[in-house]
Amino acid sequence: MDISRRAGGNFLIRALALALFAAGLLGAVSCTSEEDGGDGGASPGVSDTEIVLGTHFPLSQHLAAAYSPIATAGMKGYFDYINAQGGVHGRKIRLIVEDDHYTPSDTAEVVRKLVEQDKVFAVIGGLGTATHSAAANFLVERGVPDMFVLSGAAKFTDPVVKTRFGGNPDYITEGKILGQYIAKEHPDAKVALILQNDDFGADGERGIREGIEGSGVEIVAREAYESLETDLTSHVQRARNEGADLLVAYTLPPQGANVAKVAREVLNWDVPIVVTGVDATDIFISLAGAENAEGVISVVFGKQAYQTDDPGIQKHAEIMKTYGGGAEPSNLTILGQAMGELMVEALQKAGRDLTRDKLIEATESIRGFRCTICLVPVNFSDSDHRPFEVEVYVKVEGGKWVEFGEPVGFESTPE
Amino acid sequence: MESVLTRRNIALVALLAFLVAFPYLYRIQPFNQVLDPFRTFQVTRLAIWLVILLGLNLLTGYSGQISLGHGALVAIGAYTTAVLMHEFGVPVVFAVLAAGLFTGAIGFVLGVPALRLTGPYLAIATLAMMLALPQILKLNGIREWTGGVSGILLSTPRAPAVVEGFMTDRQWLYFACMTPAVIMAVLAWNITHSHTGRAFIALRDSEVGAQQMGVNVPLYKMLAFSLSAFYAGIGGGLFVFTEAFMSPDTFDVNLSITMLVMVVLGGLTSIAGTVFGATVMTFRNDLVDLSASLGLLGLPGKIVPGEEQSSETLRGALYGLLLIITMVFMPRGFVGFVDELRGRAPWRRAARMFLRGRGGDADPALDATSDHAE
Repeated sequence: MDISRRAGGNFLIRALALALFAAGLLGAVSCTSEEDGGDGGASPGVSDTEIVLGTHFPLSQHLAAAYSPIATAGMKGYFDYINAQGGVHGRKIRLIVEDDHYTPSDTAEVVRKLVEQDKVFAVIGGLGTATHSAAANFLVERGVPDMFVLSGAAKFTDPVVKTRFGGNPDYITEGKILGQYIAKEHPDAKVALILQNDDFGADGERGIREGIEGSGVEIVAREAYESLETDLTSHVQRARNEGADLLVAYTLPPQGANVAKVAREVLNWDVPIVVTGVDATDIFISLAGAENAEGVISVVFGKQAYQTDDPGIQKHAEIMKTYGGGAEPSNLTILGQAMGELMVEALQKAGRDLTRDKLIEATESIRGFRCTICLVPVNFSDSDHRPFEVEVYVKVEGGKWVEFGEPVGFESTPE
Repeated sequence: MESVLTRRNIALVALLAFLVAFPYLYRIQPFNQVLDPFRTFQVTRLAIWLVILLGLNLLTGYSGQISLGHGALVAIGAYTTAVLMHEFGVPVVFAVLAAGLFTGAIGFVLGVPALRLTGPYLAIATLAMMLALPQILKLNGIREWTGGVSGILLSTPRAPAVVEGFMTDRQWLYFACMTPAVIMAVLAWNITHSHTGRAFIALRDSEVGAQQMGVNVPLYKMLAFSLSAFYAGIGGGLFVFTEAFMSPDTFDVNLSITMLVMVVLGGLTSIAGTVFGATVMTFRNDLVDLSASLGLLGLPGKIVPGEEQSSETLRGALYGLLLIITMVFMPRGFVGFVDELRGRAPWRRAARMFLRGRGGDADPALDATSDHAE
């Protein structure tokens, strides 16, 4: 009895002392007017020798292989290459890649970590529509430049948000370009749309509809599938039963490849297939099989890794070998380097006296910039934050995406 | 008098004081070495996970009903809150409460199939619910409210004018989530130590036995689902309030399964275990980073040649392994394991003997974390 009571008394005193201490702290710190969030200096993440950038990517779980080389090899490798040349205005670029598992709640968390703990100067190439949506507002609010979002969702660039720029072409623009192709080459086509049931599919559909407007092209079927589905046999079959004679797929590469494979191999159906630029990758052809992919139409804005006689691609392969951890050049590493080149161009233009405002201003002033591995120039302005509005048609020939025709598109930046 | 001055109560007061002081600590030496506003955000998340996991533990741990679809209930709570705030301008307090009650009602209804389904069949049914919900949320009929695939974007939560000067927005969010979390934890403690809690446990151990003892099995099963859903709804509401964004992809099957893993890891039928589970849930990325920096994740690469690159992808395998280890070696979770260790530790035994020898009542702290419920 004695013991426990005495011990209790001691504890009470200690607890009281602790509570008082806590209360004291509360009083002391609540008087300070310091704002949290790490926006202390004019340019967080910029020192005399370094610029810190951050991004969020799936580095583990099922989508890691499909996307992570963009950041870990393409962007990082290119920045390391630039650093080896002396950096930008004497500063080296350090890229922090955070794993968000392609889960929106994790993206919200890691982006806060990048801004508040790592104090990045800007976020570059944040990947994914749902994922980036969970972090986009936070970045706007903190005034952190949200450079080259790797999502084709139109909502990131329309309406224009001062601190945010798009990365890959938006799906509406791309859909329009594909729609125009269909209207021109297959003016009486009965189209079946095969769409991923999300923003990606919805934007693509909108673009296609705008592209075919006024032509004799008719949409006879609309098949939406959930992103977890990998076997689209029943959707392709229904499209055929509806009397479609042209397939348009707004899918990720595995599903797109499945569509081509099912149509050619299972249904023995020699139907023209048009796919989103997202599918214009080497992985699409290898999954579908070169035979089945033959003749599939898409659009690209970057060069292809197999164009080894192109000096830009040669250089890219060299950079990947030396600085990209020996990564095999692919559409992914090329996309990563394209984003890296854009960023370096913007940083160059912003000058040695770097602030976030200057970066935004410099990016908006980019006109006619053609990166070494891009097929089309990039134009930004204060009313246009979309980098690629012009694309080049490609067709699978002998297991490779081969360009044809002139670049097509809509440039909203005035000359 | 002395009953108030138990070590446990004092420890609780100290814990409370710490929780109050926590969001301010990062401005003070030496805490600013490890703390910053981001940690405040993480602990805010911890509070939310705690509410969600408490609900899951009430259902799975105490009542023995396995649910793989808890994420769906959380999503329903989050959407209810978001729609109420976004479309109808309901203040957040009422929106979250309404979400809790609404989700609770849905949970009550979901309890009906659970009356017929047991064990793996119930798990499958709840899994089906988890898989179906995203599609339902994308339906055109309710698109006007749910925003379809794009989800709902709320305006960023701000600290009200009353607390201006005392709290930043981040600190305000912390208190706005920690307060309900503490209340819900105390509530869970009280429920599990009441008649209802004992009925749940009787239900888990043997339905026939529970019936024999006069427990209204259908009612208590539905009550368990309902209570669990109430927690999920509140948790989801707080989640969307802090996050200001909700989409059909926010809560997926993976997350539901991770929740279950964390509850088992911490300890079924233990509130302290749930706190542990919520902590691991919150800092799971940091833990993977830590084990990666210690080279632990490189181990598989050393064993299986050529796997160095993908060792990060072993996260799922890591969870599975942890779960198996937990089931085999610590069936009562981490907290149960610690309890056992403490019971066995020689100095503990000596202390107990000493106290008994002096004729004093056993030190309450010795029993504080032991499993009262069993």
